[in-house]
Amino acid sequence: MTMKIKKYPSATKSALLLVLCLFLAKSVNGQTVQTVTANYQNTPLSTIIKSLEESHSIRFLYMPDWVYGVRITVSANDLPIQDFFQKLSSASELFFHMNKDGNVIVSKSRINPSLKGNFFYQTLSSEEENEEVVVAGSILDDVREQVSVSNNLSKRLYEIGSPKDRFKSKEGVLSGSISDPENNDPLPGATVVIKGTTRGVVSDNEGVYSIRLPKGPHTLVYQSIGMQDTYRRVMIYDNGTLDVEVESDLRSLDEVIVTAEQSTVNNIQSGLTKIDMKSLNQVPTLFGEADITKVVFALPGVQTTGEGASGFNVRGGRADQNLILLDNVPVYNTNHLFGFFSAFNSDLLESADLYKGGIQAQYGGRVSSVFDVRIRDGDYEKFKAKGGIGPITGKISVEGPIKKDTSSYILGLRSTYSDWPLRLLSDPALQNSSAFFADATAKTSFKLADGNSLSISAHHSRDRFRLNSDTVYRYFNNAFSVQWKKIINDNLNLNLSGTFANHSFGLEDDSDPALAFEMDYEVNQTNLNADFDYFPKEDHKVKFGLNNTIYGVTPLGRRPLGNSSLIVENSPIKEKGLETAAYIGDEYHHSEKLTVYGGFRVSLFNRFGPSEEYSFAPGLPRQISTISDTTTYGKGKIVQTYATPEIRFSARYKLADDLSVKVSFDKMSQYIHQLTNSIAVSPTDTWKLSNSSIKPQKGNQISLGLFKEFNKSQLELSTVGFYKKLKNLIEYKNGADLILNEVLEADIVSAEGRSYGLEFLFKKKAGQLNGWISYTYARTFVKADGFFPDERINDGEEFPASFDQPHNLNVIANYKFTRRVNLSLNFTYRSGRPVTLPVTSYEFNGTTFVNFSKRNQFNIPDYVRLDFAANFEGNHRVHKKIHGSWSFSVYNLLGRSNAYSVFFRKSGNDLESLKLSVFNQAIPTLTYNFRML
Amino acid sequence: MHKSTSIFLLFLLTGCIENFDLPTVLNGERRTLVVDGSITDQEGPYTVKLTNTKPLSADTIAQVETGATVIIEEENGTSVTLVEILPGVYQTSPNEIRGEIGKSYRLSIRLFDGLEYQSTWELIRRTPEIDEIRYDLSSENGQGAQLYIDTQDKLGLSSFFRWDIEEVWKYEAPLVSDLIFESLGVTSDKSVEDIHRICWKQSKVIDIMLSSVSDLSQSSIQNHPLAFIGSDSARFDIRYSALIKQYVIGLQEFNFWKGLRDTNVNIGSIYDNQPYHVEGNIKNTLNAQTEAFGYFRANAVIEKRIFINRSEFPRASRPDPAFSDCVIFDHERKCVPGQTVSECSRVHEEKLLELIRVGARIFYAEPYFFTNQVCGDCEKYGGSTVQPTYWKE
Repeated sequence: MTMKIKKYPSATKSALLLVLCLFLAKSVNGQTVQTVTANYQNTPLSTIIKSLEESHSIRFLYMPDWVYGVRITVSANDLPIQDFFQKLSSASELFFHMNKDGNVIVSKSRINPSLKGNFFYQTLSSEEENEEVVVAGSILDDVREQVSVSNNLSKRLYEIGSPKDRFKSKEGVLSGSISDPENNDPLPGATVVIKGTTRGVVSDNEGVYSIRLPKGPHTLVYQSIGMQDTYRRVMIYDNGTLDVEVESDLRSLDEVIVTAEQSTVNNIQSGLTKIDMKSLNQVPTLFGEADITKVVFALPGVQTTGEGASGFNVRGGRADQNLILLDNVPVYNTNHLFGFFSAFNSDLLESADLYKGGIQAQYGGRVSSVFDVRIRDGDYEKFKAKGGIGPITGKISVEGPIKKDTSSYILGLRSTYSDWPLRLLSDPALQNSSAFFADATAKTSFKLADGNSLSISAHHSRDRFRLNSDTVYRYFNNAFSVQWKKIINDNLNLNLSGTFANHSFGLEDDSDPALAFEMDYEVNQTNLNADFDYFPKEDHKVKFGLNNTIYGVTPLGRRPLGNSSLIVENSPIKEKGLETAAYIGDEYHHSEKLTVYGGFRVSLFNRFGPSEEYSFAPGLPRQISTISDTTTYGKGKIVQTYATPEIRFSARYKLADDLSVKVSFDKMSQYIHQLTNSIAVSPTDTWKLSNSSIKPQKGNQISLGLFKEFNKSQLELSTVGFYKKLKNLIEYKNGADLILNEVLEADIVSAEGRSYGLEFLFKKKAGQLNGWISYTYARTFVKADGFFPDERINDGEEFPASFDQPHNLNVIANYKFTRRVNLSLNFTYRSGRPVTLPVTSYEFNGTTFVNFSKRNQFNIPDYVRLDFAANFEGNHRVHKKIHGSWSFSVYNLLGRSNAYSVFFRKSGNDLESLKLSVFNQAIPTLTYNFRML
Repeated sequence: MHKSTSIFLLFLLTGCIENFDLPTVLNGERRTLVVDGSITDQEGPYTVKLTNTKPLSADTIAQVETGATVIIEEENGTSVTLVEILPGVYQTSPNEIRGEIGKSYRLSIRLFDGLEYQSTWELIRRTPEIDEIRYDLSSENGQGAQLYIDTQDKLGLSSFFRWDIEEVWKYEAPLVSDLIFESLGVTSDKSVEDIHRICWKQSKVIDIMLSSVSDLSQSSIQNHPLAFIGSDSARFDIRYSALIKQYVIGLQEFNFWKGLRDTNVNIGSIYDNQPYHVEGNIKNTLNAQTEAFGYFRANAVIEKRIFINRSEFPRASRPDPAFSDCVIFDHERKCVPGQTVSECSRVHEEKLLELIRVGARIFYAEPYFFTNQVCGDCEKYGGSTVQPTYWKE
């Protein structure tokens, strides 16, 4: 519980007073004796306190919880204030004690006002252990100075050593551990400073500190990034220990907040956003699944085309241009069930960093963004478990030491346990359907000697959707990584990592035995990386390394299913490629004002055989009929080589302590491409490697941003402008069929993209109300202007991309009512995305058909959605084994039918205009989560 | 594949497709010529219709192209000029030309304003026989008949199939009178031709029915669902007949129909493809960029007719009678106090005659019973009392 200490009498006029009251001060014997004249009828105690503070220049020190809801009927006529407090006491079962400074201490027990020197303290027994009130004149003075006192432990005087040993030496050594009570994690790097001096120490990796102190009383300040400043009063008699719990700076538990390790103003990377994992469980959810991507969507510069669309668009980039890493493993499918759920189990994540620009040279392979998600290490000290259950999914995770302090494991499982919503439907085809998904994430970490470490992590996710008992879809995602960190010397660290990623899906349809088939698709990626961190001088941070990526793609193939099937087998040739990249980058801290980063990456892509490469007759459009030559490459033969130099640059200049300007330039390239011809990325979209016809995608981006902090970094305001150009985007000819297309080259059109925008972010990091507001204005255009008419879209003119939604406003707000109850709101507004609509109709073969406008000339209605969540924590007694919490979420609280698309359909011989919305009602969800410590 | 994803969405939601008024007025682009014509291996005459596209927002009827010169040409053979029999409708003269399997045909058009268009050469491919048409009358998909087809090309030459269905059904107006209402108290006998009790109505199934066997080891189509015939418009009131026409088409024509289907029918899922302009086979002879919409088809036609009686429906799924809401109006005089009887009768008679004149009511029985038009006269429901020559009982 938080103790609310009112420092100054409130100057605001209380409009809450329901009865007339009058206060008088009267002088008796030259000394001011305050008296009270008042008449309160069933008035809140808080109102009375407020009035007294205003009229009598006194301040009340109390815990709001005690006062909350207490109503009092009391009257007084020129009554000395002490007597009035007596009356209040008998009416409220609280005790009021006023000291000579005019501070009124409110307690649940009688206070003994006698004081015996500075060291004296007295604990008054109360019903709850942590509701102690400590009274001592000088202590109170200190307390008043401490604005952010997290709890009243800070007022308690801790005796270190035994008083009888106090003459043994002049100093004592105080040691202990510093930890976060939320998860009992130790806090390394926390500082312990003797108040009023600059003397202090820093805690080690296990959060352990040790400080030498002169005998006598001291106040110690424990500080750690993101945590509240915590005070302890100690009386040193001799050596001793004091373990301290430092609470999160966020006043409520697990609040939604984006925090930066370094302050945003200091950080060089203008396009980096760190997502705080604690936050995730508080954001309103859909069907109870905390979803990291939902938080990403609320960041400036990130767009989504709507529910059910897998992937997201960063600064005008396409969904396949985001490099999504889970412990360094690229993840090809980040969703469950067609994009409605995230494939990441949020309980196991350590961090999630989104790089929209200013991407450093160690990252490569995608042209728009990097989303770097890390699995956390298991607890090195003790076993813990965590879990939750929602309407359709359940999850559990366990962690603990393998060998205490040196090795740990963590394992999380999540699965749907029911598809009951299907049973509620009247359509028999759907009643006979089923949907299932599950994922497992595991990591084991070893702390080796000399600061070296080794970690192995694995992730598996699967989806299964069966339609009407004869069509089955299956999706699999596997990720495996081994990371070894070696400290070579003080200046050089080596990170070796090997990763393997695999994504596959399959489809079976036996609804008609003669046409029964199965289809399979798979993409594999193996990475071998050697990355070095080199610190040649104090002000240089150099990273260099070598990355090898082996790609293997098994294009979508089809086989007959069963003996009676007439389907002809179609097994396309597997695609193989190797991307080798070397990079070096240096972050140079020139001065307090200026930090500069320069990086260079060169990537080399080799496409290997076996392969059949098509040449098309010169001077003719690329069509199957114009294939002039087919070159067959044998296994392992180099089919095509591309080399791309990539320059990365960023700089930060501080205009003032709390104001900085940042600039960045990135050049990126990409050799594997997702083939998507629909508005949103569809679950059956496949990836294809560059070849002689499909050139690597390339992107260039510049950005300029201004970052400002207010109020001791509590408030943050930033604005970033960017301009991005994309080359060799893949578009498709009219009517191109991407499935089982053996000569895809003939249906592909090369396009260019361009996008620009201005992002604003206002963030309040802490306090009872916290969260952020982001607004982005951005435009994204595509241009396909090939030589032949069938290689042009919209006659070769630039047209808006399908996700071009100029205005994008997001608000995420948390409000903490009490320590156990908080509310969270998520508001989204964005412009309607462009669509292609029919403009003319014609009669043909006895019916009416429509003919479409040029691409993306119209917009669907704007998207507005409000989500709400209330989170209720169980009580937090330390000795309790299981901590439970409830979350009640409502997705789409307004019940709006946001249009996903609009279209025309024939109804008889008439055309009717229709809109498709994914959700047309509010979706409430109740989730139970628990933690076992 | 799109089917299941949209169905998955349905599982999450209830009724996610709603009517929607577009906020913007969709303005049409410039007019474009639309060509709808064909030649078959069956006896002519063959018809080519020339119209224009119209703005979607306009309620007008598509403008027709009159005064054009329309020629059907056989490769290395004759060419015939069609005669404009109705505005915009051009027809070959009887026995002038007949399509032959294995030969190619082309359509040439010169519009009145001088613009010239030409189709590509279209080959008439042999179409195999229809083995069987089956129908399923169970109510699983709602009231009506689901048609299935079996066909195969033993030579394995056919890759792409298309079907049209022409339908005709017999129905009865339930409240037919053999008397004509002249005035109050006066009736006369109807002539036999005027008693419109039984009619036959014709229609065309508008679905685009296609199938490809290009990825099968045999050119065989078994149990292929053709169309679902709903029980609306009295289709299954007495007896229904469907004439299934089968065509083997080429890849270009297949892609054309598939394009129409992709952009006009298979829409409304969140993974819809980008809509696009569907390319036909007719282009401007001078500027290949200027296309005409539509397709000049040259096909061999194989037909099969089926009949379905109302009594064949299982009891549980028997369609509701089409004229279940026929109401009999009893037009009694309701005189206002103070009116003379003759004045009252006159006013009432005038009202009745007005209702009959505008067609709102039709005389049903003596003395003063009236009913809705469609219930008392089957021709008012769109059919004809003339029994088609191919009709079999």
